[in-house]
Amino acid sequence: MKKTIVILSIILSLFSLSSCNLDNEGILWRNIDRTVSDNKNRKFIDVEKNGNSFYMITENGLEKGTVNGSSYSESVILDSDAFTKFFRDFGIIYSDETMIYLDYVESDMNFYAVSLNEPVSIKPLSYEGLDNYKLVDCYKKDDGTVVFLGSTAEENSTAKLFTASYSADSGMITFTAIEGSSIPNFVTSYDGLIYADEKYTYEGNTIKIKSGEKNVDFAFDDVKSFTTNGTTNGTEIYIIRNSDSTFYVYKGQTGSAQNEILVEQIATVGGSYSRSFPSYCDGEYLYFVDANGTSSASRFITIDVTADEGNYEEPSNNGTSNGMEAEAIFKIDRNIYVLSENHGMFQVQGKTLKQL
Amino acid sequence: MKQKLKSISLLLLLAVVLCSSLYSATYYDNGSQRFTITAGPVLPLTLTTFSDDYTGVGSGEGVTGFEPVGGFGSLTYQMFLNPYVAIGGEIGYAFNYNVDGTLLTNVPMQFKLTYIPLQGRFEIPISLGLGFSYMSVSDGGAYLPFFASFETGIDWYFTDNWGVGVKSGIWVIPELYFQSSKSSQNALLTMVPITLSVTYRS
Repeated sequence: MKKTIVILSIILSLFSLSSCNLDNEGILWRNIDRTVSDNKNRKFIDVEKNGNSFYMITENGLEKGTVNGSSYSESVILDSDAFTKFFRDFGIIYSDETMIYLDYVESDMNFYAVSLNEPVSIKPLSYEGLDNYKLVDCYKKDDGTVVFLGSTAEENSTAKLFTASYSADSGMITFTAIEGSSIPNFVTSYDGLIYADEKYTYEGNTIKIKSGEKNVDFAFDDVKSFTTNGTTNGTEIYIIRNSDSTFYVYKGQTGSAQNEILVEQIATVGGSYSRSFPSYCDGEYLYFVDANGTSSASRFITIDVTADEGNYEEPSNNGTSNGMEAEAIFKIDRNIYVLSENHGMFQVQGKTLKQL
Repeated sequence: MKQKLKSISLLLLLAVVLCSSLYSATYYDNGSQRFTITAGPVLPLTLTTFSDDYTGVGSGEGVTGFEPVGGFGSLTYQMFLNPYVAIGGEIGYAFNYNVDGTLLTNVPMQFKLTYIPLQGRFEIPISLGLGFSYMSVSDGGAYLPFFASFETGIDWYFTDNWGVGVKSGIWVIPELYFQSSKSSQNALLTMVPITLSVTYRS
């Protein structure tokens, strides 16, 4: 009996001191940094013009959050009855005082003008100029022009880009197709919308980057998502996720010849989990948050876009919360913020995040 | 908090000494046996991380990272070495949710030495346990740390063989890494179980 107990103890001690502990990150040590998941499933809309606030749709309705350096004021509910959060809905701040919001009810598009002067007012809009196109996304160009992306079907359809003009008096929003923006064989995925511009088109498995008459094509087995990040120094960043769960990051720069665009791969990030995610490039670094596919740990990735290929950092103690998914990354004043869907607000500090 | 614990420990010790001097009749013989089933909540007490010299007391975000209340159940079998001291083993299962919704589970397996100074219809068992716990967390990671426990309480036997009791104590779970690259992740967890038990003795 004694012998058995001694042998059992020795075996357990050896386990305890060796093999079981090799492939591990401190279980208890991590606990101190755990934070409450608020699970508000935020949907980011846009940053306020000339201010410190941003707007989002949550389970509580239309909310406004305000940041000031390293402090974050929990969002104020502007209208608890505003919109139902739906994955196809989106909005954008169209002018200083007006937000345009598209609320899908099944396949019907319902446009609203949201007056941002508090208390906010929400008025339905009629629309014209879209024919049989359904809008899938929108974005704001550097000059402030709002561009809408629409397609005729979810798969293998034709997509177009539209500009819009809004008249408060008539309660009408009028869309105009951008000439030459027709995108054949367009595929919209709920997980990975394609952020297109006049310069970027998508055809089959090929991303085409157009600069004047010059085209640069990326061909992949199965392009899952494509996003671009305009930067301030003439460099543009393209992120493509392939079917092998790897993100390929490319840098495109204007070449010496007219209408020439030079594209080089600067990083590959393997083991990705998210099919699409927000990213932000400040001209020096590209930032994005990805979830670990084998656990709920999140990772914060920083890529030096001025350096050679492969230069990216992914600190293990990165300040993210477990299960955190980024909803938006944006800049207000000189600070870059990460709004998570389910774990509140973070500020980028160097190569890590700090929860606000 | 430390003051409170000290006072409670002193009171319990005093009660045991008084009771044992007042009533010292023995119930058990060499070879008598006890089989106990236990269940109840378990509360996080402290979490210490040595690398940053931090000790959080209690529960919650920024403290220990645990929700205030978890759960625990166990089975214990013991045999008496003499009329006052029993030795045996206990296997249990404990769970504690973290504030972010992840789950920490412990499966303590320990040798348990119990001294019962007061015996009969009412008993005050005092136990020390030493062993290991298979500890894992739902977002990745498993570990087999040492596990030490102290427990006391009171049992009331409503028949000669069957009794119910309420007990509490403290668990000590060190998570120690001996690789220099991970020594900064060394930590020490203490928890307080508060349990109801059913004991069969013979």
